[in-house]
Amino acid sequence: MQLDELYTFSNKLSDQGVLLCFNGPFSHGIIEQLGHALRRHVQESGGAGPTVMDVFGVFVEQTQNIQSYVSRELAGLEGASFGVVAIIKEGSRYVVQSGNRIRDEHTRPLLGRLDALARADAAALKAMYKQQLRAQIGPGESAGLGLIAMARAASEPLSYRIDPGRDGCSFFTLRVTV
Amino acid sequence: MNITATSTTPSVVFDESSSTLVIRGESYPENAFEFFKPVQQWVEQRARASRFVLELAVTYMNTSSVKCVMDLFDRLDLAYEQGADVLVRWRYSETDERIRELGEELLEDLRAPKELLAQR
Repeated sequence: MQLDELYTFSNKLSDQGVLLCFNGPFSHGIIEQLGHALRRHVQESGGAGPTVMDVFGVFVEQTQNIQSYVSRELAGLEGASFGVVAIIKEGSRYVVQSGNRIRDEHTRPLLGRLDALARADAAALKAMYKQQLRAQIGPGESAGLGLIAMARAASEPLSYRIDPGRDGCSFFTLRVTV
Repeated sequence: MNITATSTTPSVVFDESSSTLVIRGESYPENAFEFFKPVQQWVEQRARASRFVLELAVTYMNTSSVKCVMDLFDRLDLAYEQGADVLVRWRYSETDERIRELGEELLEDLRAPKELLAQR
C-alpha cells in the first residue's frame, strides 16, 4: 500500500459505516480486545443494551469459529491464521461480516448447512439449536452451535459467499445483520 | 471449588453454608470445554452427596459455554432422578432480556427443581 492509499482506504471504510475492522492473524487476545472496543463503539453509536450484546455475540461466534477452524484445519499453511472481520452500521442496523480461508473440500458441507439455516424459520432454528445442544461431540470438535445462534440473532437470513483461492483453499465470507 | 473470574471466564465459587455453587460473570474462553471440565467433574461428585444448589448468574455466554452449562444441567437432572436433592437457580438482571430468554430456554427441558429469578 502506497503512502497516499491509506487515507483513501480509511475514508472508504468510514463512508461505508465501518465502526471497526481487523485484518490479520486471529488470537484469543485479539478477539477479546476487539470485543471490548466493539461493545463501546456500538453503545456510543446509539445501540440499545440487547443490540450491543447481540452484535457482540455474533462477533464472538464468528471470530472464535474462524480461530478454531484455522488452528484445527489449516495449521502449517502459510498465512492460514489470517482472517478479517468488520462491524458496520447500516442505518439503524448493525452488520458483522467476516472472512477466512477454508479447505475446498469443506465448502460444500458448509454451504449445505448455511442453506438449511437460511430456509429455517424461528421455530425450526430453535429446534435445531436444542438438538445441537444435546448432540454428542468428539474431542477437538466445536460445539456446532455458532451458525445456528447467529441465524437466531439475525434480523434477516444469513448471507454468504465462497471465492476461489489457492493451495486447495477458498475464501469464505459470512455476513450477519443484527 | 473456588475459581477466580478472568476477563473471559466466570468465577465459580462454592458456598458451604448454603450448599450453593455460583457461576458468575461472562464466559467466552478460547476453549470452554477445557474450562468447564473440572467444574463438571466436581458437580458430578458433589450433587449426589447432599443438598446441592447450582446458581447461574452469568451476563454473557458464548455457544460452547452454553453447551457446557447444558451438560451441567443434564448431570443434575440425572442425579435428581436418582434421588438427589438438587436445585438449579438462574439469576438475571431485570433489564437483561437476552439472559432471561437464555435462562428460560435452558431451564425449559429440566426435570429437576428450578428457579428463574430477576434482580433489580
